[in-house]
Amino acid sequence: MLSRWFLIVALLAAAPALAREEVLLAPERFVVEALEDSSPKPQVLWLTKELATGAGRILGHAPTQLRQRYWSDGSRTVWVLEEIGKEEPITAGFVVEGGRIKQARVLVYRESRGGEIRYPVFLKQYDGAALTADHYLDRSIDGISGATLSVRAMERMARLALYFDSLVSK
Amino acid sequence: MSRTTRLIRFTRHWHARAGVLAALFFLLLALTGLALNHTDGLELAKKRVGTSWLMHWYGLKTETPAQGYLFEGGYFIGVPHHWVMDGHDIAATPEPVVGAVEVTGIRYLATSSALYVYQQDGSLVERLTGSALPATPIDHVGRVGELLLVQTAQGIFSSEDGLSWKPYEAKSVAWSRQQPLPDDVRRQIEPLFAPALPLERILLDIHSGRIFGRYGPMLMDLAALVLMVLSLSGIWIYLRSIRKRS
Repeated sequence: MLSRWFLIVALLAAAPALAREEVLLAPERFVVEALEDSSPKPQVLWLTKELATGAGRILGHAPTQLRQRYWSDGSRTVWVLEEIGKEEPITAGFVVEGGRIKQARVLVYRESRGGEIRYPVFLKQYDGAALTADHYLDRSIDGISGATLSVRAMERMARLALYFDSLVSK
Repeated sequence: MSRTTRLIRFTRHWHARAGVLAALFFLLLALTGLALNHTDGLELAKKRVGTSWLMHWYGLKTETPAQGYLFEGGYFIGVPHHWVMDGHDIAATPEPVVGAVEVTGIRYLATSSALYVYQQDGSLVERLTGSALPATPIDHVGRVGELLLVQTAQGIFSSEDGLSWKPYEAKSVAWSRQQPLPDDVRRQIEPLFAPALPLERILLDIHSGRIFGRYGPMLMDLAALVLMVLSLSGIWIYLRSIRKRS
């Protein structure tokens, strides 16, 4: 009986991993809308050791994958990135043009708290943001109380999108 | 001896004994409360505890899988929430694995909605989902020569690198299947499948008393009530002693 009780507690412990996945905008839809192209072809950026080190400095940890897809129409690049806020990955989309963020969107949100980062009033802060020489945003982003980790994850992804754009737009 | 003096002596007597008796619970409450107040800073959710007696107490047992996908120079075992490749944990999903295959030194692990591309050293090359896949759900993965094949309800598709896909006409393909794991592999993975819980969960259970079983929360409630009574009796004893001195 005691074992059964603890099994229930253990299952509750896994509850964050079962947190609901909320698709706000399908990533493929975001790419189509951003490039106004119904079948955009992806391109690939391979994270060599040097690039992975640069991305790692921005993220605070090694990048999770070695191959990063992106889409481009020549003048702008579109990035769909994932980063963990507290426990679950947040999927966000960024459109970069001329080294500045043209659009930032939260595409899939999986955390139990901090979902306020999806609101335009927060995301608008990224419009026009560029990367400084030391790979930080050229402006400060106002936080949201109770969503600190999600805000930080979003900021890291914005910096990463700008960093990646600077590599492929050379 | 007056009635008030007897009452003070009685209160002092039981205040001390109840305090000592409940001190262990207070320490537990205070220490776990302090730690839980700094969950993020101490990264309690990320730290996992797998001490065998504690897991036994929770009723959790090691369940080592008996089957997995075998490659020429390695293996992959995927159960929901726990994936192991060549003796190392790799990022896992709750989704069941539908197949795993190695093609030209690259390992492709498939769930119904995603295809994970790994190097042999366990580095994730890419996770393919949505439009990066030819179709979903994926039913099987397999290989023909140097081609990766995925079977979906829309048909079979082939790819050389997981980047571009072509429809593939095939009568019969040997799709990847789980196989019984050799004994040495089972021995190697046993520690990796030993149960563990986040430290945050354990501290929460100690703090709430749930770790002591069904009646644990009531025990902690009782400790909280004793603390309230001790606070009141302490204040009363203090006020009496001040009044006496003056």
